[in-house]
Amino acid sequence: MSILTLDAVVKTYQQYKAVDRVSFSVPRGSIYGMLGPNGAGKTTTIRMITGITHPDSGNIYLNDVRVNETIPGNIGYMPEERGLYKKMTVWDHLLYLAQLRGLSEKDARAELKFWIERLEMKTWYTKKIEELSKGMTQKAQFIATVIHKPELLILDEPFSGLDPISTNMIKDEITRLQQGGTTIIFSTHRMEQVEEICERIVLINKGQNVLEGNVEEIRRSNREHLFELVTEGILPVAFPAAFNEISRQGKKVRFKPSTSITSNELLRSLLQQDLHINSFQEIFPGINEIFIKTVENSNQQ
Amino acid sequence: MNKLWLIIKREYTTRVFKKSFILLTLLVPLAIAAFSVIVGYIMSRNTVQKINIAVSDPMHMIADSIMNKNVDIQYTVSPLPFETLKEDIKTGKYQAVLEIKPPEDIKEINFKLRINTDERLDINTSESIKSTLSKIFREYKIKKLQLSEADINNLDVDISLDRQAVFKQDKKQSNASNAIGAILGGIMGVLMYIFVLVQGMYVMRSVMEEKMTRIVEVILSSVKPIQLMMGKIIGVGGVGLTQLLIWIVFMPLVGIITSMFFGVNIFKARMQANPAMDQAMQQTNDLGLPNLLAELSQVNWWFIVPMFLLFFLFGYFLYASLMAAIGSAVGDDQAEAQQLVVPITLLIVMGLYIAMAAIRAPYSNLAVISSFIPFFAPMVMGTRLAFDPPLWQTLLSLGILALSSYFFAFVAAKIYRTGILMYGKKASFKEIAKWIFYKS
Repeated sequence: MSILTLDAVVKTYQQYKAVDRVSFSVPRGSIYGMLGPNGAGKTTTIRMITGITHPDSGNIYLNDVRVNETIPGNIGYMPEERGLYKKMTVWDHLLYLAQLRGLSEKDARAELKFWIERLEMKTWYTKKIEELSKGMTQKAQFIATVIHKPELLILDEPFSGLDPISTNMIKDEITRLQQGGTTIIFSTHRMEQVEEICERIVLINKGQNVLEGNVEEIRRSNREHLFELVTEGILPVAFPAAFNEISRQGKKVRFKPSTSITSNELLRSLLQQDLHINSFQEIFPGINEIFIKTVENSNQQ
Repeated sequence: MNKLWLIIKREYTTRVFKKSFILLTLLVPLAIAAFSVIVGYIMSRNTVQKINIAVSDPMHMIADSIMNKNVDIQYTVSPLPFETLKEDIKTGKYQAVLEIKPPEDIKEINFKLRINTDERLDINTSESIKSTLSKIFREYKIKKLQLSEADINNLDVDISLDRQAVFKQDKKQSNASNAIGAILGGIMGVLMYIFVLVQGMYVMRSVMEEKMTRIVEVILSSVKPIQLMMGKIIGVGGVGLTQLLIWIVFMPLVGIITSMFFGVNIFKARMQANPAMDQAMQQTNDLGLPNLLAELSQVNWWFIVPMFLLFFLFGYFLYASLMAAIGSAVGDDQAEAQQLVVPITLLIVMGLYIAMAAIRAPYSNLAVISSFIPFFAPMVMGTRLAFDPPLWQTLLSLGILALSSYFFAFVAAKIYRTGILMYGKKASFKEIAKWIFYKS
């Protein structure tokens, strides 16, 4: 069951196609990664989902309702370039944004109290935004994004500029929200975070989605029949040619045999060698490699 | 609607409760008062040099001592000859010696009189001496020609026109009603000008700030661009109105206080900038308070005030929308913003100048035609309202202004919607024009 579906969405600025027939759907309750190099059309896509701009053609469905021309209220959006009114106090500012997102003043106050305590901002909420550190501002932004309990959360590079402690704090909150049933779209180009957090991803390049699917499946389907062996003891000078050894680093050896040789066959013949095997595993490519390879491929076309 | 209200409230409260606003609001009337007091003081001090003048009058031309009215210039009339008196300059008894002789020909009107002094005479002093001397000659001639002072005074006449409608039924028009119209109209025109210019700039700057800090993206995921723009325009306008109201209450108070303490009429001091209004001021002063009040009650306030407010609002909307559009298009480039603002400022200033001309000739072609040009109408028609213009002109002018402010707000909203989310690229006029036709 998907909470959000984009169906061949197009957005053109003058002659330039910022988004060109992008389609994907986000399963309810998942953490969904939206990847792409700078200028790929991620921000424009997000702006269309949040109703800041509207698609020229194609459809956007939220909970199976077409939302092309509306501003859906149940979305929380934290843009990458985040700004706040510098002269307002944290409290006033967040209260204002919460009310803009449809909370009554009373509810907004209650929610705000909760979040300020939760993110350890108690000493800060009477201060003006301009007096805050970058990390504090980010936290305030995060509160502004989640205060109205949106079903769908869109976070654009949520960890940029955060120290490790604040990063963990926000990460924990994201996990907690997901466990509470919130769907999270996570836009970034930090691949290690994608692997760590996201279940599914869509990769956008030059306004088109070039890859979409489950992270594990993508890695599996992009594997290159590459194996790594770690041993103790003395390595033989050479392995049989069919193994196709491609690198040797200390006790670590990598093989890339022809696809006719299965992993079981490879392991069986390794067992016949006089080796003390510590580990043997197939290497799946990281999302980072897949990202670079896919982008380069699609750029060549 | 609720969201629009929230935006208005934020725009209003964050500004009104700012220290700088409170300070400015309180200080401006005081600054104006202080300025007027100083200028008034300088203007009222027509200083002359301290000087003792001996007037040698051997023929006894000077009848009585009309002389020593000025405390700084001391005249001593003496029958002694000029050359004798000159010696006294050395001792310091006198600084100057003047010789006066009755004219040989009574019809002579140009006289050159000898004054010996080592002092340099400044303009004020020599003017004062000359005027004293011409009085002496005048009196001498009156006596010689055996005229009476009263007859002479009768030669000066004062004409005023008593205009009465022939076939048309309209109000009696007096000099005073013209004068009041001039003052009222002048105030209205200037208010409109200041308000539109200052608050329009605030709107522009605030839009630029929102774009620069990228808060727009957060806000626009909750509200429509038009709501944000309108909320800002209304909020900032409200701040301006608040300030205006405070000043309207404050200014007469400050005026009364300064005139009580310093004897300077600050309103008079301000008016001197504009000759038409100065003249009008003079006329109202001549009227006396009871007549003035009677004339003021003749003014159709129930029509003028609401009408003025309407022109005020639509004019503000028209210009503020344009300023918002410019702010959204330029972002953080102050210099570029200034460039784009120049044409708009020129329109406002032109409007003010036409309005000032309309004080003297409120029914002229220039005034009437400008009333139908929406960019000038707020200032020009605002001024003309006080002169009881034909109803159709008022309504037509208001209609045109209202429609065009709606139109420009619409166009500005389109530009705003696209511009506020555009970063990096510098937008040309051509490009901005294209935004108007974009689908959002």
